[in-house]
Amino acid sequence: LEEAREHSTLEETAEATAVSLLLLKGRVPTILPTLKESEAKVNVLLNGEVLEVTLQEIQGGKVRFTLGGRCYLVEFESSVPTSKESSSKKVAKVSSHSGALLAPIPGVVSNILVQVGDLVSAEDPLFRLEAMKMQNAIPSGKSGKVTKIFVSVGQEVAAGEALAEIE
Amino acid sequence: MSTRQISELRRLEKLAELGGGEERLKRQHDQGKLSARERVNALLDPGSFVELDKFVMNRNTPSSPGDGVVTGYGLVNGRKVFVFSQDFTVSGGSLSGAYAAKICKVMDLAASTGAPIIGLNDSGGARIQEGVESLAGYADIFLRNTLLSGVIPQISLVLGPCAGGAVYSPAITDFIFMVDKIGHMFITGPEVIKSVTRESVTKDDLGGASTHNQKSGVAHFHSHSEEECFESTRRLLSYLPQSNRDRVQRLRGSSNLEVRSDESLNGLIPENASEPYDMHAIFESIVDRDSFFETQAEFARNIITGFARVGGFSVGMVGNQPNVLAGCLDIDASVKAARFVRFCDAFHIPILTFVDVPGFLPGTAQEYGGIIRHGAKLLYAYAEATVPKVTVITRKAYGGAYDVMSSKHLRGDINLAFPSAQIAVMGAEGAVNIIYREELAKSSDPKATAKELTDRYSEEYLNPWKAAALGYIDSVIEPAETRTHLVRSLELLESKRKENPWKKHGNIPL
Repeated sequence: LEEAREHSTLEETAEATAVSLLLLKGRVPTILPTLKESEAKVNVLLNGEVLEVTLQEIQGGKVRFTLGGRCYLVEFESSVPTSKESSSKKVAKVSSHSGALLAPIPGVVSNILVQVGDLVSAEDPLFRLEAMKMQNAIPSGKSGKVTKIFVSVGQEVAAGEALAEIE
Repeated sequence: MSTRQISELRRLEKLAELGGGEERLKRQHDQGKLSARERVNALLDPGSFVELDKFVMNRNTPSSPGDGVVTGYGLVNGRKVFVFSQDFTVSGGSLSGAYAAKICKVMDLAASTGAPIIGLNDSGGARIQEGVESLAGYADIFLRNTLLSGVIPQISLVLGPCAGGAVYSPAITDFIFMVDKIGHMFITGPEVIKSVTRESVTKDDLGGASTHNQKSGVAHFHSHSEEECFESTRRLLSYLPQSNRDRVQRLRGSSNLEVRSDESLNGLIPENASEPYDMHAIFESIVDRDSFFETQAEFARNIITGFARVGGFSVGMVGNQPNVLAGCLDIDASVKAARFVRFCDAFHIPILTFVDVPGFLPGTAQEYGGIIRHGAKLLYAYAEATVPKVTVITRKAYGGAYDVMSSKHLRGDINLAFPSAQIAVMGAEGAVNIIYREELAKSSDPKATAKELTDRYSEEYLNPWKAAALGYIDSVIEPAETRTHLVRSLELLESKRKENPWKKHGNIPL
């Protein structure tokens, strides 16, 4: 999938819209598999923005999905994984509900300050993310329990990538 | 005069005060909202409200007196303000021709007498039966909002629906307050969005107080209740002049005139430049006690903006926040600060700027989003401002961001720096990779060479002394003494006069 990301092209099957232009402007989509294969809704990471799209069809190197009522076709040069086992380790899963803590800035995870199961409050820093030569503290943003941690120390993350899930 | 005439007056007054009637008033209360009149009385000093146009009738159909909006003037902390309060109980607060004319009348009076205007918004939109007359009414208000921009402070409180074209009146005003649960703003509502783009979104998620304070940056203040909203509005007004012809009075209370140094500031900036800290701590330390009042506190938190009193002077404060996004300038931060700086400049409020900025945020999202033109807004705003400008560089001031943040070169009046300041084109690693590319390539131990060169660069360039030697920094100060320096600077600059070249208006890169 990593390779597929590099070489993906995006074509639109419906007529040209503002949405398609946004997608085409060099934004390379990463398909994030859902937790359950049966679920048609997946989150697509578009340059830091997580968008929920509805998958229509996955076949060979093509993925057809709808977003905002428009249908899009993404063609990959290599085949697209259809099950969660085959997904790249580097791509974090984002569950369809919005308990995910997203990286606000691209950087490298320099420290993980919590463990799965920890109870946290909104101001508690959960990660230290080195970005712009600064050890940025990443607060939880909401109170709850850490149910998943998607990243490890030393890992590079993109803006908008899920770091942890808090419920 | 006959008692009959007096009783007719009483009857009509009572009718006007009932608005849409008992039942609708009850419904308003059941929704957790105060009535239009209760709001005005809660906002203004008790008993100070004087109503105008109480007996205005709808021009087309029989109506109750007032036609859905309460207008007039009164006092806030003893200072005159004008208000209009939309009454949702009368035809859903919808705007008719007569209704708009009432609002325009108080706006015109606010302009001619030089006093702020506060709009309390709670309206379903245009009164459809009135057709284009209602649209004309909106435009009459928009025009006044625009002409009065920079003349008198204009404040909008969103205490109910404010949808469609109606949002553009608050949008042009200087500050928007939104109250949780009851206040909503959007151009098109959830139903229309659903039918056009098939996105399903709740009214709150689309245009509630949290959305506009955190995501869109449309609102400036987030209130949890109407009472809190009125209290915040009264507080905001205390920092503002009545109009652009007035100045805010210097306060001379004990907290204002307090002379103090704060040793804790000497230890606040971490020695390791990659360690963040909270810029709020510096603000709290140097302002008159508890006087900092933050604007857009939840939006673009990588830059802090707000009002305060320093030595009794009302000031606008701007500061990079190393704790969020490393304090980088990005699109949202640039626009947020630019708008704030321009407000202060329009109303003679001196600007204190605290700088710790590693630069503009890199990335395609920023470049495609137009960081060039948005960053230019902040540069433009600082450059054109003629109010007293005092700048304190606490740590990083790199590259173009150094120039932007109220530098000497943009007519900063007093530019100070802490000894921890690093005023340079860029940080050490980036600089070494460029300047010493050949040395690094030739080196047998590139890591050791890089370390040596980085240390040398840091020693030579990452300090305030080069800038101070050139006079770009007026003085390097001990952090503990910052408040004293700022108060002295503000006293010095009280008599500052500066004018820009004559023009119709500039062309800020929008």
